[in-house]
Amino acid sequence: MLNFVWRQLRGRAGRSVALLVGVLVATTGFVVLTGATTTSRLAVTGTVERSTRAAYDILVRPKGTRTPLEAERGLVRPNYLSGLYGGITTAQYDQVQAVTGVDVAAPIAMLGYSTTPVPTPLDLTGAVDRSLARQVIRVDPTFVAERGLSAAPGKPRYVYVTKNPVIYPRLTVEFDNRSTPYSDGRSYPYEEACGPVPREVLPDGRSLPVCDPGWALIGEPGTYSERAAWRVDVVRLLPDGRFESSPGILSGGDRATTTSDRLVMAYDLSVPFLLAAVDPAAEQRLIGLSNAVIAGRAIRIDDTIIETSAGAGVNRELPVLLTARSFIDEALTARLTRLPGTSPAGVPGLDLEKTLAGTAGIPAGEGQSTVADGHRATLAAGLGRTGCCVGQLQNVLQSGDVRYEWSPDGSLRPAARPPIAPDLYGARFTGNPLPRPWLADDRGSRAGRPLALPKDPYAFRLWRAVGVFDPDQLAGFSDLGKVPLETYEPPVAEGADARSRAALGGQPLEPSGNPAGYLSAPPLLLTNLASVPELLKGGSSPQLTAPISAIRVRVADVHGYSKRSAERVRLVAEQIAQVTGLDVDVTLGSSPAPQTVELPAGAFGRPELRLTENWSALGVASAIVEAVDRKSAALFVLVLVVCVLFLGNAVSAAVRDRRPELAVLACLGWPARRIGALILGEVTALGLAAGLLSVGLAFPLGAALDIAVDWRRALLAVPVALLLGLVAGLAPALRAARAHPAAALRPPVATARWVRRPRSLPGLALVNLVRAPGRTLLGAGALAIGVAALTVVAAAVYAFRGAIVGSLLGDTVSLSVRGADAMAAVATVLLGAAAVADVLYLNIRDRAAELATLRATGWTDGALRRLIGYEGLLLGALGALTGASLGLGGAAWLVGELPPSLLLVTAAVALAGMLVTCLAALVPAALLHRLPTARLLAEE
Amino acid sequence: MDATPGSAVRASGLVRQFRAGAERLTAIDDVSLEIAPGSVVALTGPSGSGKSTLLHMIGAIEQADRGTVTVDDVEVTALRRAALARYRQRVGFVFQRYHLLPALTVLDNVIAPVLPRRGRGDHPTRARELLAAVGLAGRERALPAQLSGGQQQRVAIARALMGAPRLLLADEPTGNLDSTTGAQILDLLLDLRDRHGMTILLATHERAIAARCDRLIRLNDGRVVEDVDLTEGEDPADTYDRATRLRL
Repeated sequence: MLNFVWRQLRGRAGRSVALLVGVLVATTGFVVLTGATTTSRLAVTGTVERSTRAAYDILVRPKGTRTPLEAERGLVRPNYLSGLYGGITTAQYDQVQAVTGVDVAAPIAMLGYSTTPVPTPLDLTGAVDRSLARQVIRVDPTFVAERGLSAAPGKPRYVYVTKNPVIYPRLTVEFDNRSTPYSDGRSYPYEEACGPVPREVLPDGRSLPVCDPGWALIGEPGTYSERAAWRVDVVRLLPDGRFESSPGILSGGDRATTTSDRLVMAYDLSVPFLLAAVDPAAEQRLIGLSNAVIAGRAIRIDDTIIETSAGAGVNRELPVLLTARSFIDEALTARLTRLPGTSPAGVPGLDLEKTLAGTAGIPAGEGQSTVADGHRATLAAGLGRTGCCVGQLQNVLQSGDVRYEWSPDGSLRPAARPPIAPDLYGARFTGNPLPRPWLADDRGSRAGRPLALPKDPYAFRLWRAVGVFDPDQLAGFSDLGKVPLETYEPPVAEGADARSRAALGGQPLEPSGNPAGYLSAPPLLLTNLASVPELLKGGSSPQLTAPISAIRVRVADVHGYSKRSAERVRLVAEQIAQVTGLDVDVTLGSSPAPQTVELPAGAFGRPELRLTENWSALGVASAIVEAVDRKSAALFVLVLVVCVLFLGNAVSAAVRDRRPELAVLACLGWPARRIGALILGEVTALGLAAGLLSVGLAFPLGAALDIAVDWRRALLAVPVALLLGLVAGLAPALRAARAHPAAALRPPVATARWVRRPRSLPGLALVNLVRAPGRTLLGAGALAIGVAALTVVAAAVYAFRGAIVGSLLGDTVSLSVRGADAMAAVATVLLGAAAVADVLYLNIRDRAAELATLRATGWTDGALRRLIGYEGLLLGALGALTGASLGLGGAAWLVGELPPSLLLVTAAVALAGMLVTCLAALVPAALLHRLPTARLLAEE
Repeated sequence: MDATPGSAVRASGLVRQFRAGAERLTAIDDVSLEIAPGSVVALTGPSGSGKSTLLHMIGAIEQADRGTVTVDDVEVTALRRAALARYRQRVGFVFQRYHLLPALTVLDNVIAPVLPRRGRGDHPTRARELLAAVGLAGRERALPAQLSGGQQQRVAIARALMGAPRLLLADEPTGNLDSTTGAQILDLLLDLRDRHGMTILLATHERAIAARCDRLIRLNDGRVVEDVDLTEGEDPADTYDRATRLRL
């Protein structure tokens, strides 16, 4: 029997080779395409794991603080700490730490905003006329923020420049309200409406005070805006060309500096500094905070409030770590005017404004500076008693949460809030005389409340920087799997539409100096969590008992998302929730997901903006991994089905070709099972050969297409080829075995039962297809599977993308696998098209005599080609439409709906399938002229 | 009906060889002949003598290795592919195995040669006329499988006449038929020749058929070994006498 099989194969070498090639193509296609899906899957899971190594895996927040929006959409907003002032007790924190598997539990307690003056350098040197003995430089400021979109003018300030000597009050020594000691060693009468101010020494020896309007004229300090604040500074132009002033007036050095080459005014801008408390050790492990310290020292676990006596009172000083970046987008521009010959010396405080404002001046240039410049200049002075950096904690403002409303288009609209009440920023009786930030008068998105600090009239609370850290030097993580780290990073809000982008000049919107503003700057001040009870002691803040706002938890042995890691994290998260009862979100495998936010217009000119903010979509990694598994399985099955069909077609055609031969064997007395065994034996032998060849082919093909084909997968080709061959050969073998010998001896093309007069070439083509329904269906079926496969692949990709896009990680993964998906889909359709070409070719072979007859009766080759072309077109249409219908059914099952884009893809795929079939028909049509007409007619 | 006498056929020095393994077989070996318009010529000879090959070469479905075929002053052997197709449209071909398209009705089979040229006449009407002429009126909607061998051959003849040929080539048209049906087919051909005016060249090995032709050309091993004008001095009706004289 084996010998017979071998002789059969060798005797019809051409047919055997054709079948071998068919099995080879199907098997190699299977191996390479399944390799492609595996490669794609590995690429995805690899990307996911690499990209999800984040600072923490679990976010724990006080119970009930997860907003409905977050819960509904599986998101964590980037500003989740906003408005979150405590709620977790230290006991609960201890419970979290005690949970098995918790590697790091890093608590953060948000405390509130301390309005702090940032001395912003404004260079006035160019405005000074050095020839003049006395002159006043008027500075007309405009406050600018939010990429220049918000702006407001402020009251002019004055710098009096004189060549006369100036004496300064000695504020470091005891003085009373009768006389004030001065730097010339004498005391001068205290003037109620002027304050302890510098005095100009006139050439005749007299000295006149240069009054400070801020001292008595404006009223309740601390309740007015910095726009309304103004003052008169005195600077002496020394004979050597340098400038001299009292400490704090000139910028560019420490606060003790009194002389400078340039007249750089330190223009104090009121900036809200957000204060938060952390556990230094946990923060070090979480993000490497201590490693990022660039000046001074890190905060220590034992840092606490330092009390020092100050006269009758006491200073309570909170050590903090200050950030090197201010994160606030705010600037000052100034128009400079020189008032020559004008002197405010000796002018009573009440008359100052009238005197100076009424004086004509000469334009003397412009100046500008930013909060960032001021912060840098401040840090440049160095840490220390005479340098940087200190601020008040008499009034600490806590701004509330943002409430969102849905816009009809799905974007989020933060609810507008009126400005926070001015007295929350400070008042004389609270010991905070600083003006409130000018943007505090802007509309906002948050309500405000004071941090309930103890009311002790003899204590002055302040913060003092013991160190400076650079947020850029913190441990970095992939942008794709980033978790919210608003402790250290500013929110990113870019224009979502062309108008907003144009308004923002292509830059992202950054936090302004409005504590009630939509975007919050990260805490600029970090202190030790252990000092919080000490700070709040005696007050009524609920943070006394539950100071912690959130705990970021990293789970041991988790280095990015994998199914195993996810399970570990889930178990830890469950335990934390169970033990503490807090809101727990697993952030492992989350990825930034862009959300559109409609920011209402501001009161200072900022138009309404549409912004894109990256929120953290939870569970992105698991969705991606599940989706890629589903897609891989779908692709695998599709590839298998197409390959079996392709092979079935080839084997079936080979058996059909041998029908007369098999009939002869049956006539010679071969039993049906022997005939069946002969067919299967031949197919098995060819399958084995094709499988072995496929092993050799799969490697170079895989290498060429950048697909990982390992030995196991390559060797899989042999059993796959055998199995495919057997499966595909079974049906034709059974048919051949069962067929009656006489039936097999009949011409291979049966007559059509359904007859319709062909009136044209397309009609005749249709008749030709109908007369051999089995083969037609096989060919159309192959294409249908190809088209259905492509549609389902598109749907799978769509579903895959639907499951994962909307997050940065998902978008990246989706892009990375698009090539592999497209290749699998195109290869599947090409296999289908090859099957159609095969059908058409076999059709021509079977009907060669008929075609020869038509040619003998005068049909041109062109007419014959058109006939074959129409057959291909009809076959393509049948296959493509059936495939599109099947594909849409599968797609609907896979996606759960039929989005218009998918319908469009399906229509395009069906059209492409028809086109490919027509192209495939060209091959057999091109062979028509080689038909041996005479021999065919004579043979028949 | 067309009263033209039919095409004049001239073959000159025709040679056709086939490859059979390492050997080259000469199917037609330097054949030259001239056939007068309107004549009915029988090509006879044993199997493999070259009858079908000669017919195929004259019908332009087989290329000559050497020599020329001229039909009505058109040198067929010099024509290119498109012109050959146009030439074949003017030649009727009848095959021993009929070669009907099994999926098409009788009427559609007759129309088939002109199907690519639709719009140039009332083809169904002409096909019906031809079917009536071959005695198959009323069987237009039948399928070939539903017809007897003789009826199928009549359909093939009607199909051959669809292009109004002036030359009809018939390769063993009665080879698959019994003698009575074969005689009827020949009657039909001769009648059609008389009515339509055609030259008929038929290959046959049946002496009764050959004897009724105007001329007999006998081939052996691809060569013309005998060329007899059967109309000279004989009573055309005396078929038996002719057959005897020709040793058929």
